[in-house]
Amino acid sequence: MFSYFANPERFQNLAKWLAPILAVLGLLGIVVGFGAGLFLTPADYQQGDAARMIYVHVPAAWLASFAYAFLAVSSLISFVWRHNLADAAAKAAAPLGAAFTFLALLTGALWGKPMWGAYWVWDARLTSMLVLFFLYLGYMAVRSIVPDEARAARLAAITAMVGAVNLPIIKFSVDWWNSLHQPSSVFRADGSAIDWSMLWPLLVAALGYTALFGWLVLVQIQTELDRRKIHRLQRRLAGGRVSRPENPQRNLTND
Amino acid sequence: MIELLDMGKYGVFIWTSYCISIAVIGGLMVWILGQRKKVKTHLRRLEAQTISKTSS
Repeated sequence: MFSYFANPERFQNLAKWLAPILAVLGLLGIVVGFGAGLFLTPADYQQGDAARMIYVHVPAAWLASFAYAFLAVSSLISFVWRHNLADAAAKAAAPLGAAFTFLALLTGALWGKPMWGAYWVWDARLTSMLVLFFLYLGYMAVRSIVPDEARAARLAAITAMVGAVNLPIIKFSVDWWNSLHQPSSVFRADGSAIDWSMLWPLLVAALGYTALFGWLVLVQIQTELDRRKIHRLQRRLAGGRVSRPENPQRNLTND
Repeated sequence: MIELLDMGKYGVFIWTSYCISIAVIGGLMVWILGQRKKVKTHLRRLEAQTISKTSS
């Protein structure tokens, strides 16, 4: 099954029609979610208008974790089955995940100041999100520091898989430790604690962020596959010599 | 208008967080699409070179 979906040719065909759909869905979701969050939803009975920051903070925080889960699963597939495309997917997700984690931290700080009186507290949820940000940076650092591409991919995959232990810590940090951060209010066993008038723009914005992530990951993977093609062509033109060893992972392109 | 900007005295935090979010998302799009265009152009040039080298 992995071989079927990991074929770069099939991937290019899929990306050709899926990328524009995700781009439109992503941008539309963000515009509608942000617009409704700013102008349509009522102010919260406790937090007042400050609650409008939920529409930028929560989708970014969800996506930060989702992107890492994607990175860890892609790394596992790349590590175990040595699929070139899974490795490209992991590499593509890392900077996007880092950017959304940065956004979650920054918007969280801006929300924290008026609500808690501080931009930052060493709370379990905030600290585990900061660890997530460093995990992304660590992954990207390993990929760029290690000169051998194949070795860099394997070391980075190990980093990503080990770092996945942080995901349940982020999720349950508000239950396991005393926290200033509010507990889960959307995905709960007894249903969402947020009124529908405030929930729908949040879900639309989250869907928009996820679709945007999907689109940008697809574009990044296409770019990475083209980069690897460039490397092969350069080697061919130079008569077999390359400045940086090519990724020897299983390559399914027919060129 | 002032009421909208003020947002119950939280305006500075709310507008800053929305502006930063839009800037980061916009920046990501520009960076990724710019890279795509650059790599595509490079690949096309190399493919043309390879074809001319093999035909000569």
